[in-house]
Amino acid sequence: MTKHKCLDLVKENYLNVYLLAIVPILGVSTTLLNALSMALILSFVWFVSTFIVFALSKVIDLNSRRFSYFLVLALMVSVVDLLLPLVNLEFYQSLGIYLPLICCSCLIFETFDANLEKSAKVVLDDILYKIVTLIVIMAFIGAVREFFGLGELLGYKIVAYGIPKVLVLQTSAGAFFVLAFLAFVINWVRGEK
Amino acid sequence: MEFIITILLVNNILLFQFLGVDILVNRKAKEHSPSLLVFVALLLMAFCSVLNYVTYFGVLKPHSMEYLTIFAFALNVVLSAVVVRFLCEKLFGFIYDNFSEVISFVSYHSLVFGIGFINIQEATCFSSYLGLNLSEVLAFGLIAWIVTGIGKHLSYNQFPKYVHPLPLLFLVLGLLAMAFKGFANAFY
Repeated sequence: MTKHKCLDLVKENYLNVYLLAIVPILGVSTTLLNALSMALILSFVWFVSTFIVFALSKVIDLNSRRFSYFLVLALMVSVVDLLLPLVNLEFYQSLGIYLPLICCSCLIFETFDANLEKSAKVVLDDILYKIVTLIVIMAFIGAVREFFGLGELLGYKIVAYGIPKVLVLQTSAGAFFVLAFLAFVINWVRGEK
Repeated sequence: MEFIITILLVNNILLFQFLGVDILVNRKAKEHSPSLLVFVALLLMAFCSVLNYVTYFGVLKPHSMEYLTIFAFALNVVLSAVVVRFLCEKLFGFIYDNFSEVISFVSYHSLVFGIGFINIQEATCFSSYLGLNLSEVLAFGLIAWIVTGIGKHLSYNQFPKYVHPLPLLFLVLGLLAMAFKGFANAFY
């Protein structure tokens, strides 16, 4: 990734859209491993469905495109939901009810819209860059909630005994607080109101 | 009474399962009043509940095709949006344009799909499924009204530059989640 792109990562407007995408899947971000698992599944669905939509872009009616995106995503999530328990049941159970919610991810809709008129190479470049950003953001949220909430990272105890843990970070309120912090940092880096 | 209080306050779908937060976070939501969003969500949820119940217990479960639930429910949301849009065009032609936009906006977010999907596992009969779904949309509405009200009051105050608009919204939602957690002791 070029230096220019790394700077774009925090400056561009759609980083706020990332927050929009991760909100419904916040429930699984209590640990770094869970957050990374969800980010990987979301990335896979996003990557494959982008190319399905790209292939169907001439057929899709522009006025009702969001519904078409929704159905394509639902189909992809159904496939993942069917195959994932066969691959790793524990992993599947840790995602719980939040796996089907991937098909309502507005971030993916925005990407579909943005890539409708572009060439395949540009779409591939764009999608890989956005997927890396998403994984970094999800990993940050999961790491903060696990490290400060449980004193662990990837299941290994890091914080010494006796140091108080911020248990609220393991609750839904904690997820909102971490997101508030993240949104604040994004605003601060972008230097705009 | 206990059932309604539990759904509205103790297990609020927005604060504790994050369903519908994407609607509040979306900048387009500011263009519509929370009452309109809730009204449209209730309409969509009612139609969607009928379709979900018939699809799941009439087709998918008897034929052991539960693996198609996600796709079928997504299709039901789209169908409900089309039906509600058509009915609004026939019934309230003069506000159709605004309605159409809000219907699309609400339908592709996680609220209607998520609630319908989560509650189908616990449904014992159609009325309980419909009641549960509509109550949870009202729970979303309660928080949407509170957040909009707080937002209006906060807009009169001065805050650090970078706190607007999302950090403040998430902070308010976090504090509300902590406060609503307190209702868990209401029945003890």
